[in-house]
Amino acid sequence: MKETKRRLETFSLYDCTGLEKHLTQMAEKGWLLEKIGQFFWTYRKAEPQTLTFCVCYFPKASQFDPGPSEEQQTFYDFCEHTGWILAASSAQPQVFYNERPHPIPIETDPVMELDAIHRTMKRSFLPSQLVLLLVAALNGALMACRLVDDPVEVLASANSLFAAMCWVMVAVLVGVECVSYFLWRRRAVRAAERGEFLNSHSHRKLQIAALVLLALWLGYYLLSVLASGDRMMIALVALMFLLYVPGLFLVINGVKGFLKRKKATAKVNRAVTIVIALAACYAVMGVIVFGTLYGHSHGWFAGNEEETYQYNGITCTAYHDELPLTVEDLLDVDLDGYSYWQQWGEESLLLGRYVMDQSPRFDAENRRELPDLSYTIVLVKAPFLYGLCRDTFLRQWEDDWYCWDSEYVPADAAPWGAVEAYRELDGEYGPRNQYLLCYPDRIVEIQFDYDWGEVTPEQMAVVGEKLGGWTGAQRGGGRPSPLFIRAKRKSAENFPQIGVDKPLQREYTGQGFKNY
Amino acid sequence: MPRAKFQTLTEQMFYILLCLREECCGMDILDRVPVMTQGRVNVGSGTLYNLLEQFCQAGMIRETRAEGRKRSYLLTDYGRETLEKEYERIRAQAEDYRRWMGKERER
Repeated sequence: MKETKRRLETFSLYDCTGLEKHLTQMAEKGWLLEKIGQFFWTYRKAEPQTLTFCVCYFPKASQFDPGPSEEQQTFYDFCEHTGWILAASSAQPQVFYNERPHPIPIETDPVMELDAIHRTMKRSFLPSQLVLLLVAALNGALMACRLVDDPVEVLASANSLFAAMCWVMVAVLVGVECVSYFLWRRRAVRAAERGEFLNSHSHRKLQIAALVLLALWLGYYLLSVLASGDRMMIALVALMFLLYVPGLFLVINGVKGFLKRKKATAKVNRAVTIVIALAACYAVMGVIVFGTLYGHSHGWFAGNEEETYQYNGITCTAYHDELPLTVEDLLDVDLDGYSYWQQWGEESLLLGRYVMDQSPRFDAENRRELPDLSYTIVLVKAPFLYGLCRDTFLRQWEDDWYCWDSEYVPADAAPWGAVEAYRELDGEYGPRNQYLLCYPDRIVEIQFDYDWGEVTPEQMAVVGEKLGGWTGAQRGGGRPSPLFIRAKRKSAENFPQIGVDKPLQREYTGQGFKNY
Repeated sequence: MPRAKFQTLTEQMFYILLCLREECCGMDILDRVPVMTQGRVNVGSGTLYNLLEQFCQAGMIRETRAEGRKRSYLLTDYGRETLEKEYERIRAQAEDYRRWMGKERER
């Protein structure tokens, strides 16, 4: 038979009523509260009995105190005199029980009780919640900036979505707790003026739902990191969860506990713990970041698909990743001397983003004759994001003031088996070999080598088959957007040559394009 | 409107101050108030602890002795004055009651 039991309790700090009722029920079941930990509360097995519990507050107490102060012990003496036995305490909250029937409550004046609760809230709970809210708001603002800048990269990142989800939950929980407290306090002050105590309540269901959601999301996130096969990312996440978070927790609690045992004053303990926590925070993060970078440069995370070679005294890496489309597929010949690299590959619940690159090795004999090929595939899992993803690609040069004057203009989608197709049009050099292809469930941006020449309809068909899967054309699942149809009509009038296999003859006159 | 601090006294404040007309410690007060009021008024230990602290800060009582954690207190002149005022207020209230309820009965 277990002698102790640990429970995760999700009560609001000011919810005396809810806590007292819960502890009374636990005692009736034979479990008496013994210790309030940082995460779990410990209950000791006891004879089932009807006890009266009282939760009250000692605002001057601090978690950094080496032990109960003399004043606090005087308070305990007063309580003991009226039959109240201290069950457990955690800085300001003090939990007592009384074995006498109908004991005199510890707080008999609602104004005094409210004052103690409010001083406790102002001293510990509200400042920490305010800091959390500020950090959440700062993260929200940074995330919003990144979303505006490159929504595809953010929404395809399981890391970004996990962090965003955590901060949103923190903001909601903190917001609900703070607003609930102030609403309750307003009503409690009015009741106290009439000499009445007002029952409090917690949002336990909301807190439990948030915890379950967080656990599920964390599980999904960890699985998605494992499934990505990205060894560096797995190593980073493992270090974060196994070293960083528990390490910081151990350091902070270790320092605090050590100084408490050494009877350091609360002020000294708080100052030293904060300084060491900040130092440890940066030190451990630094070790993780530099360790990962060092490991990466020394090939610790290299897969079997990677090899290093020397070229002019420089260590270079050649990759042999499995790419869905290769130069060989398009030219229908076997070529040697390439590096096949999946530069980026990650998926979230909303999007997937893969960046592939095939380029010749530096040590390849015929390096100059081997054409490059690179492409980005965005898998759109949440259909409502399709337009946003496409427009992000279409508008990529809009704010790119320092770059050349490029834009995507509609091209014939049929040879690609796509729903919509666009080709990059450079203001100075005319059409480039970069295309944006919209398939029903994915968007592909593909860049052919400068020396490739015009992409033939056969090569377009291979791209469609390998990257787009022809699913849109076969299933008839996708339809061009009205925006595309309008833009294509306009484009057909202005640039009739684009999208056919004849090279476009254009000249930039300084006041616009001249076609001939 | 919240009342100004100690301008009027609650029943518990009144009896704590009344106990401290002679030197006594916190635990004495916890025992004496129910006896003085025949069990009608009880002061909770937490409420007493906070009130003693606030009375000290307001200069209504002063600490006279400390034996270990056992501290004794006594009413100051200002505390006595406050208690006197409260008594006058209650007496005036009782007088009003007697006068007006007495008239009712006469009818």
